[in-house]
Amino acid sequence: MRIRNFCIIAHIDHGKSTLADRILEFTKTSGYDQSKPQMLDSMDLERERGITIRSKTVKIDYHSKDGNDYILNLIDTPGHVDFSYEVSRALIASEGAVLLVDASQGVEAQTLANTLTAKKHNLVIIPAINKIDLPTADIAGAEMQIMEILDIAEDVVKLSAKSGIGIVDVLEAIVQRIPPPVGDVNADLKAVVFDSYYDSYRGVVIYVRVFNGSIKPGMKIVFLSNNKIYEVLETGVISLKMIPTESLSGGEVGYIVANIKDIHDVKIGDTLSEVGKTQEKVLSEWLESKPFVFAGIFPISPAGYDELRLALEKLRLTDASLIYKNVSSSALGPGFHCGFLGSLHLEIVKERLEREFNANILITSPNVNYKLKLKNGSPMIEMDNPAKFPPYFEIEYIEEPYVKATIVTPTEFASNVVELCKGNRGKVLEIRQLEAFKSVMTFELPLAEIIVGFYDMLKSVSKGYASFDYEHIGYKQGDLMKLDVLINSEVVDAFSYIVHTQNIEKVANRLIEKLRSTIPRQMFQIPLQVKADNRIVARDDIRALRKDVTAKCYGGDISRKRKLLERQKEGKKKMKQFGRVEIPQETFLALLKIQD
Amino acid sequence: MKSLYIHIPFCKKKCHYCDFTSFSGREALMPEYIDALEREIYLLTTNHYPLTTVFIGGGTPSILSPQQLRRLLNIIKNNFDLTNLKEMTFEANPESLDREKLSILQELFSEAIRLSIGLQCFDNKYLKDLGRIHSSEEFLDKYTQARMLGINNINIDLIYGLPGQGLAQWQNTLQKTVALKPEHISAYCLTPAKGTMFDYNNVSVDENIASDMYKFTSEYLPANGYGHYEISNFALSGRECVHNKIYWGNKEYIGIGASAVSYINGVRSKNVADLGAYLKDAGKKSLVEESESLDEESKLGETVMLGLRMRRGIELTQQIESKYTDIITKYKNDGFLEIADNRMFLTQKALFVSNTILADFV
Ligand SMILES: Nc1nc2c(ncn2[C@@H]2O[C@H](COP(=O)(O)OP(=O)(O)OP(=O)(O)O)[C@@H](O)[C@H]2O)c(=O)[nH]1
Ligand code: SF4
Ligand SMILES: [Mg+2]
Repeated sequence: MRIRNFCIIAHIDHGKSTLADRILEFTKTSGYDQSKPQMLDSMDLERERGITIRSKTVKIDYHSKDGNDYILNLIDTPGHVDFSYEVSRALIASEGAVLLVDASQGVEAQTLANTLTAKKHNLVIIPAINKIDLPTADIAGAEMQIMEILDIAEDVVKLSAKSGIGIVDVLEAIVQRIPPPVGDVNADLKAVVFDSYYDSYRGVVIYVRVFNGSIKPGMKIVFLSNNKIYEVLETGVISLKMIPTESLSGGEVGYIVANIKDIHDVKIGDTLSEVGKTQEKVLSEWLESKPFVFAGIFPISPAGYDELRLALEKLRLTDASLIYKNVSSSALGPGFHCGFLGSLHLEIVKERLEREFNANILITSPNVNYKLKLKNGSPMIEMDNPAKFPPYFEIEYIEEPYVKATIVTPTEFASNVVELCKGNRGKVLEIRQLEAFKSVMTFELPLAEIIVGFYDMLKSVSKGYASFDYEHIGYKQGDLMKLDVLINSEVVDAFSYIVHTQNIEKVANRLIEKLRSTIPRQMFQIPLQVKADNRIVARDDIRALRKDVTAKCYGGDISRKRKLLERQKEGKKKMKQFGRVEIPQETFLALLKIQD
Repeated sequence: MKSLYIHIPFCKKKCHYCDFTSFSGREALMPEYIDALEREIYLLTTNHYPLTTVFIGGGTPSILSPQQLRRLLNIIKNNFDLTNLKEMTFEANPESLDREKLSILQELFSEAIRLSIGLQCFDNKYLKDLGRIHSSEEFLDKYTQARMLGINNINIDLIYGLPGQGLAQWQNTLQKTVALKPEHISAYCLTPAKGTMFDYNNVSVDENIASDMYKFTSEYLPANGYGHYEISNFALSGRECVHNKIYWGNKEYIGIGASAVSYINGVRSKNVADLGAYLKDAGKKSLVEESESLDEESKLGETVMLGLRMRRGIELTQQIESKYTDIITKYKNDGFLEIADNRMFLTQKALFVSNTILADFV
């Protein structure tokens, strides 16, 4: 069997999923559907947003020009930084990567980030320039950037995934340049888990890459991370549908069903062995998708709590990177404090809850995790919910998470980008100006400054050209303080906000402005205040409603007026009752966008 | 005992704020329309319903010619039992009201007649802005004629909150109105309805000024003997509009004419608003364009929504008390609702923001 395991990596939107389409089409893979562009993007959300969220594996049969038949295991990966975890796990199952670069955009931040990850895993990289059909394509420029920025000297394949140009060249390069998997089929089983999902009929289905030995139904397998033992019920390969096989052996990629009920027993990167045989880990540690962005999710009416809990439980089965714990807010009642990979992930979870589970929810503004040293001498505590912060005077110091951000931009916008990062408490680490009119810059930035609105601002200071990627680099001490929001003289804990002391006024005024412009006038005047360490730093009032009356109501109007009032009542139901004040969802949405 | 509403959907010219079913330039159809009314009534009443109130509204009922008016009134007289009739309201606009029509009303309905005249305001500039086609002088003339003919139950309709109108101008209109000693005054806050000229021109009402005007009105009129009995209505003692209180009491009534609504046996139904369809089908087949059979819950909601418009409020039944306990407590604590003698009613400060409160009850 001639096998090639590879993934397609690139910056967001450079055409990975479209290339996958063309490969499926060219190889006449059964199930290929021409009417569905980017057909591997099968989740509703992926199709609607036109982006890949999950990595997808598909087995392809390819008859090469060299006369041989090959099995290609292709993994399409997402480009968005929130899902870089998905790229990492695709790499576990690959010997090589097709690295796409959009001919009109050139090398961008995730191109660089994904290249570095692939190099770290010692993958063979096939550089490829896509979209050569575009009138704005600059093939020479892209080639130069591949050399200069990515330090890749290999031959570049040129293609257009959209118009089907150069597809054979890509396939031939895969066959010729990527080595076949090495493994000893006769040795004891050694396989690595690189994906899993929950199927309500079969339990957890896991995707594995077999290194040594083979795996077949009936075999007892053990997960080395937790020593849990399961009996294999089914093995198979993953094409556009699942195809059961008698076994999976060294070098192959496929799936296993083993009556696993809890997806959290399955860790990506974990090694599988046969019970009673050699047990040796392939990777020193499994990959963890760590949440970095946190936010509260609350039911609009307390009655919705149980439904929300069930919805989150179900969602977690298909989205292992979502975490949550119970929380009780004095303002919003019982709810959940959740952790996400990034802001896009947060947005997606919110949308899935609303769409797939019909949940009526409120989300508090996102924040990061903090480490607090208290004056009482106790060890440092971690705190991912501003509402729970102890009073200022009890805190000795606070540490916040930092990232190393890589920004690739046309050089003409470099100074704007530097300004932007400095304005967000960033520090320049390195600036590389390249001949290709691009600059690659690295900054150290507090994570808190980039989770909301930063990306939009970066786009706007660079006419849309700059791209951005980041990696987490640990915690640093910061001069931080909690802002408390008071509505009608009572603290609304769900609106608490952690700011750097230099930004107190700015953020406090924005908070007030968002509240004032979204909370409708009510029957009484509502004072709004923001406090920092018990000092009022911003204030305003929402004046009392003065007129909301149906002046005339006679026989002909009654039904219509009742319906109007019913609608008004529906609107009120969608608001969160906080003491005497009704707060609409728009307020929460506005606070999510506190930056603008 | 029933109440009857008859709709006359003709106006000489459409006012800029008005979205009632009324057509201008179609006066030629008035004779046919009265025929159709007669057919609709005939089909409805084989056995002479006894009526307590009649309300001929519009549109502009006074636009009918003297002959047409006489005919319409006779149709009512011939088809219903009017032995216990308490009130027969007739809506009129100054431009089309005249001595002859007034005499016909007086002749055929004498004591029961209640005349409701649309003045809106005393300032001719604002009348023009509103799209009205009469002057305040013309109004005064017609009002005096009505009085001279012995009509002793007159309402004057007023509107406040007009664009550019200040409190002083509104006070002036109120003073002049009170000086005429009408039995009843309706004072409405301008509501630029959807699809009207005002809506088209984005006319909006300054809620602070309007609210000040309302406050003044509800102090000034009672101080001059006019009881404030509904959000927008004031009357001398014993002169409240009986017919309108049927609506606010959520009692049943019959509506005749294009777009007229009836509420009978728990069903609200609305006639076609299209004039052609009405003329064609009246008396021949069902005119109902929309109807809604109210369940107990909606009925109760309407009872509260309508009843709380009146200053005397509604009877606080066991049912209402238990269904709305929390809401009642909340608004009572904030001083928007009061309960006394087993009745529940809105306080003065609640009236101008009453929708917010009523929405919780529907
Ligand atoms: N003109 C042109 N457009 C292309 C080509 N390849 C892809 N596109 C377009 O580029 C857009 C993005 O394509 P995708 O295949 O979804 O890109 P992706 O890299 O999978 O994106 P993510 O998964 O979100 O990172 C789509 O509108 C494609 O139609 C190409 O060769 N030429
Ligand atoms: S306000 Fe009266 S007179 Fe003016 S158009 Fe409307 S119905 Fe006719
Ligand atoms: Mg994709």
